[in-house]
Amino acid sequence: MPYAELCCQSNYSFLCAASHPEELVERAAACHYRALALTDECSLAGIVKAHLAAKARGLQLIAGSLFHLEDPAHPEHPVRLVLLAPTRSAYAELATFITRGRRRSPKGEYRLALRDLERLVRECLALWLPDDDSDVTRAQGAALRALFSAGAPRLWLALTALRDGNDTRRHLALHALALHLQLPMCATGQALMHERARKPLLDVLTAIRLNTPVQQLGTRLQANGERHLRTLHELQRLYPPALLEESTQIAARCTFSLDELRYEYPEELVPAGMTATQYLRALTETGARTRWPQGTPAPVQAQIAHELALIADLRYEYYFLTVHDVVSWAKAQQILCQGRGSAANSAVCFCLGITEVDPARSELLFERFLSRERNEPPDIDVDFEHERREEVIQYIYRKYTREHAALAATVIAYRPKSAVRDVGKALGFDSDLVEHLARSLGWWESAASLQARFREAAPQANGRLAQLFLQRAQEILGFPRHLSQHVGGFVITRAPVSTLVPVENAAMPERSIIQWDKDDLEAMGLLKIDVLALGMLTAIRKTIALVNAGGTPLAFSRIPAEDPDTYAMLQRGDSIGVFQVESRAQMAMLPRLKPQTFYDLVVQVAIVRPGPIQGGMVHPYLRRRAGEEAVDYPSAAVRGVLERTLGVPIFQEQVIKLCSVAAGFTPGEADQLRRAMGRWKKTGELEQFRGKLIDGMRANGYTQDYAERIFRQIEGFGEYGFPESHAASFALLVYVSAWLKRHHPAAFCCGLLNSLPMGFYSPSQLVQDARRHGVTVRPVDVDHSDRDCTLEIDGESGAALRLGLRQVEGFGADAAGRLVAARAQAPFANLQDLKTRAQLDRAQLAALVAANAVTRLSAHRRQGHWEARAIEEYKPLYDAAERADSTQLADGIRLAPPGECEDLLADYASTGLTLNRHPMALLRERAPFNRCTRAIDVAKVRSGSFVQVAGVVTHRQRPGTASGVLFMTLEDETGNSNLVVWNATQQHFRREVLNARLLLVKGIAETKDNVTHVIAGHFTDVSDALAGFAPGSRDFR
Amino acid sequence: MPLDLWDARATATAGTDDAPAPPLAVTRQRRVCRANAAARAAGVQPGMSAATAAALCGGLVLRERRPEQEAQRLAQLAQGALAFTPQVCIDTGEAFARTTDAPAPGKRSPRQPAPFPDAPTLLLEIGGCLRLFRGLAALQRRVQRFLRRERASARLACAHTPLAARLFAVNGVATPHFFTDDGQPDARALHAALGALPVAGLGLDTRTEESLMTMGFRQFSDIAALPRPALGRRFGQEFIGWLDRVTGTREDPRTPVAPETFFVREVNFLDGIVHHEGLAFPMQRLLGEFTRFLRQRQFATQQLTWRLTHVDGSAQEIAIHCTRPETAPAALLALTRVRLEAIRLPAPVETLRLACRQFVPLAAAPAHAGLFPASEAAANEAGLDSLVDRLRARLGDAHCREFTAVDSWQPEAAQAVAARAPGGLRQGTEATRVRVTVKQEHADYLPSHAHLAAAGSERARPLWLLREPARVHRDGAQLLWNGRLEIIDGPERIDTGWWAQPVQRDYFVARHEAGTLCWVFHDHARGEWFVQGVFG
Repeated sequence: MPYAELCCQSNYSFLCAASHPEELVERAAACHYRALALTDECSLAGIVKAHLAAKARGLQLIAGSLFHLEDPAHPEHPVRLVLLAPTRSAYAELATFITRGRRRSPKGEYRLALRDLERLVRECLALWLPDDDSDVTRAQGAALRALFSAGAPRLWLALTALRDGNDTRRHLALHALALHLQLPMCATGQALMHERARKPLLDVLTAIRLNTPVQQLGTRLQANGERHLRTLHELQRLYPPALLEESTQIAARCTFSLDELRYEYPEELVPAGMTATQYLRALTETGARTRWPQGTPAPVQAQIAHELALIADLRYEYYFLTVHDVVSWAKAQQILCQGRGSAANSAVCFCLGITEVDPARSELLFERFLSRERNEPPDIDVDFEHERREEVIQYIYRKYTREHAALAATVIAYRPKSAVRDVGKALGFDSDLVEHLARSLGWWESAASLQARFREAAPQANGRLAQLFLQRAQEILGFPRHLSQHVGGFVITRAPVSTLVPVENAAMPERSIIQWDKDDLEAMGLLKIDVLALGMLTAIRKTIALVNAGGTPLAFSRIPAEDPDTYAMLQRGDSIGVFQVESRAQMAMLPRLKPQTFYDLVVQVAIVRPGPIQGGMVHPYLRRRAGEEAVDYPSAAVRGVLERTLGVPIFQEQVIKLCSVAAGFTPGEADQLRRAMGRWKKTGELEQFRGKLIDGMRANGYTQDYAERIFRQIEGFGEYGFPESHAASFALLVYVSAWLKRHHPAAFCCGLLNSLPMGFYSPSQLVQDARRHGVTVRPVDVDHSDRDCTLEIDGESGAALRLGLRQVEGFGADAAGRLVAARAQAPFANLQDLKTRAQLDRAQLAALVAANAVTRLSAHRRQGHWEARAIEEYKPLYDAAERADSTQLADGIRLAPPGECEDLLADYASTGLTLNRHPMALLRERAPFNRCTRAIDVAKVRSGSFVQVAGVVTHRQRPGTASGVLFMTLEDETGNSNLVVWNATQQHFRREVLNARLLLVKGIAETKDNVTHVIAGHFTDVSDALAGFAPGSRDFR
Repeated sequence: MPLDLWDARATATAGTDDAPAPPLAVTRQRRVCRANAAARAAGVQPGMSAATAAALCGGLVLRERRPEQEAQRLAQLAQGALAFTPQVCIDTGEAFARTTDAPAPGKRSPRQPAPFPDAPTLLLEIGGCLRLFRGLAALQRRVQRFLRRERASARLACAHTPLAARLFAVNGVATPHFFTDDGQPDARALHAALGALPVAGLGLDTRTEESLMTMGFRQFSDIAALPRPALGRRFGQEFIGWLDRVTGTREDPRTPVAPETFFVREVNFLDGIVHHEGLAFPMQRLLGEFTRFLRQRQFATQQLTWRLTHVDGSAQEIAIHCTRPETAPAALLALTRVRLEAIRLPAPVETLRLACRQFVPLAAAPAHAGLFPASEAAANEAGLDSLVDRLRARLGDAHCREFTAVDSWQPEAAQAVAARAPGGLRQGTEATRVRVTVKQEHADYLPSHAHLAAAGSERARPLWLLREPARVHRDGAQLLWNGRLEIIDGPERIDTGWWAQPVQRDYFVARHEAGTLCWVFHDHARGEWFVQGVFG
């Protein structure tokens, strides 16, 4: 007896059902169901996943959704209704109906009433799920029947046997109801899981949803596990054959498949009378003339022709035109932006101004563009200045309207910590224990250590309960929890978005998201444009503006290429503040890789990543670069793939290509591999490729070891993919920021400070670095400072950096604006005058005193605080006669000035930095610090000898790639010392490593390739040496 | 000039400091405010976040402070301390907290709190009772003994003003040498010790404290030395008031804790009362007095105790419990009589005492004093309650049990028998029966066993459950339980309780050959059949 399940929810009905869409499809196929309808509540969020799985299994999948519809006549009895989409237009209707319910409600909720059906639903089929045969249901049934009366029967009364002791009664009642209303009946399972074994997890999800431990839920839990996809054999025992048969009849009417969805581009970008192809060609030609006023070089011309043909062939013109439109608008607003991604690094994009990576400068990059074989949509991410991205987003909404533009969703799923928290709470564990357990999963630990942590935290705990807890926590991992907004992926369509996919509200006001994430979009062939934010672009624009203000004309696109001084600086590892290569690992790599050309920077950006590191490719590359190892290729085909990186695979594309060339992957398999890389953390999908890859490579004569390394590299890319095309766009920003740092250090530091928070370093570290490069830095001062940091041009000494009021803790932009305006009228006479004219409250004035920004108006910090405190709160009707002088404010009391140490601590507390002596310089005079080696001298110590260093802890970092090694950075008055802390040492000095702000470390200096590390052996926490000293370390993953 | 002599103690928050204790930290808003020795040894410090502390110290037990429990404990200790002096005050540590300035937002470094500046303290005015306890040293020893008995750890300090005593105590300043044994102060030593107190240990609000620190003031003497008007201009008159109360230039009147309320009255009979009836009148009189006492204070009670002392020195106690708070003498007398009838008087009664220590504010008691009950249901309930009271009085508490419905799928867990708790009886929900008639139209949509269900098979739940499910024997497919069982309806499947005792059963209604309907189930885990109950 055939059957089609027409009501089935997945875990995309968040916290209401306990199986992934793929699991449901798998089970339905295994049970030989005729079809499966995925009917998440007011949602199509799981439909694409189910669709892909169903396609693979050859199962018919029906798109549908379950609703609780309000009935104004019976507010206590919502109508439970499943809508199914038989056709493409019914699908659009369903998506629009969901959108309507979602858009009028806060994030995660929906509101729909019976009357909404009348206006919005014409073609969908409906299953009604009433509970009994009462007057209320009869009335509601009559109303529904009227709504679905047109044409062929579209409304069924669905019966579900639940084995809850009520089956017979319910069956008879619904039968009577069907007779009364003259409605056909069908059987449905109302499944919430794919198999019975998920019942415990379903109970846990219910507990999380109702925020009550399972022990207290009683009959609010399901009585049994019947709501799974039952075997045909079981179904036959539960339902009369006619009801089962009816379900397949309904399924047979649903002919719509998600494959019918076709993406259509917005049309308005093309001027009337032109085709998109003509317009794109025209724009490209105009751009080429601007780029090469003397005429486009022939190879580039050929490249352009090739690309345009390909774009036309694949019908991607509108996509490029859309990106071009957004980028042109941003440029007109002086918003710095840059595209990246495989399609971005093309001659066409260079001509269109989407990227500044010049094809003539590095033709290596441009062999790979779009391809006919690769079933891969064009991928262009555009980075904008982080402070101004919102303007771009608003432009897109304005231009295409909210109907046609929406952000992609990101599915927030359970991760180890949240799983531990929620499952622990659901099982009624003590909140302290749960919290302790969740937190004891340190920032570097994974779920694997959960069991050990649990035994450690609760040795007395009931072993069985612990076991259950761990099982549930494992099961819930990866379960979607809710939808959130993607960082910036926009979907723009010709028809309203909601005819393709439902749109709902994001948590942020005025933002709407679609119910699909980026994987879904890609699977459905929908194009998205990533509108991203990048702090470095802000800093670069501000720096260039400062340079221009100083009288030197400069533009992003006119920065001289391949400047030897810039490369020389980078080769020294002198890169604080420079984009991407400022991290400690990158800094250590610079002197070894010694970049000399732009393409070296592309490699530099990509090489310090999990992929190449886990694949063990870093050292072979460095050896070959240094000429210590011969560059050779196993075959000509591999040579083609790896030639530009000396035979060592570095980029994601190379590895995928290698799979085709060396392991015999078909294009389809290579494409699957590429997709799987993006999802490895979620599903472990990559493992299936392992055997094929290794066997394939061995068959082609590669060693087992090499093949294993390639696979590890693939795994590494899965963790953090970094394709060459992204590296190239980033490398350009590396070069530009490095050039600015080398040639305009004051402006560069100023631009960075004015763009914080971003990057890797604190203001203190940036300022120290600038001073080491000879920049004069001046303190915050109410007589000179603007809100932002500024450059003060003095005659011969060049530009000095004046710190801005933004550095002052507790002093906002508004207050700064008032202060600067008041100062423009007249200099401040005293504190009272400052407070009154700048309309500062007591806390703001105190903040200025604390920053030592009023040195002209009062003797020193202590005196300043004493005097400021005496001033009454601001009065709007200020009488000049009341203007008090300092002697009045002081009450005749002269306080002793603070000591150097107190001043230093106050500097850090207020502005996060000091221009006076470094704390270590103060301590250096005393034991035991006088016996420590200064950072600047560490490199001079013979490698392998004992060394003792001390400093402020500025960074702690434990990269996932370095098997438990912790890197720490200590700062002293001369610079930074880099510590390597092995795992055993960390355990032994756990407390010092985690907690100390000022450390004294004994260890062994180790110098290799011009990079010196201290292998830490012994730690002493000396934080108390400067009591209360806390500039704050930043911990990085 | 006579000096007031005070004594302040800081109470520990929870538990005792036993020697090999596991690492423990007390937190307030997820920040550590105290840590025991084991935790401190692992690097846990006050001011740290709970997460950091837990990361530093494996196995650290974290306990969030519970202000209500602390207050309760303090009140209890205060009652005990009344044994030393009638003047005992509770100081919650909020003596000087200015409200005009909100705390500064976004501080870069959290302030390291002083030892325990907001510790609640007890202040004992002992100036007047030194002679009674034969000197300061002896008194302090007795206080220490009292604290040990109460298992409270505390610090003692003496000073000339309440605030100074408190500050010495919370800062751990040892004070005995400031006073001679008969209470004469060493003014210079007192002054010096006070002046040396760190600003961070003064328990000032964060804003004031930080402001003073930024001006370079580090200890109490730095502030006390400044001219009062200049200080007042900056920190307000309230601050000056606090300063003066610390030094003693201003009075610091405080409200002492009142002794607990209780009612105890007794009547003595010269020649002893032999019969129950003889007790009735004095009991009525005492209850009359008691209800007047209640009325004056707007109290009601649910519990009082009679104590009968006999001429031979033996005693009997009769405890009376009411289901709802009571104020009426008649009701109390009626309950007393019922209980009295049940006991035998072994000897003539010499003393009759009525005591009550537990009261409920009248407002909290349900009002049923009106002329007419608010509703019939309320009247029924009140009638039911008094019936229950009388039943309990006659049968004894141990013999009264109540059935309650428990929200659970598991049948044996779905009802519970509990001792009768005070409060109204719970009204059971009445099952609604659905009548079903079968029409033969549309027959292929019908269940195959519709004829059976016509009898009306809503979710079956027999009223009588067996104490333990009884094992059913099988003979092939035949179920046997003192005769043959024939399954006529089911199954109803229950699959729950996996977190404790998994229950996976299929329930059926079976007809016994004797004609009764039984509720049987098949246990999936054990693969066996059981009878759970019998339909009436």
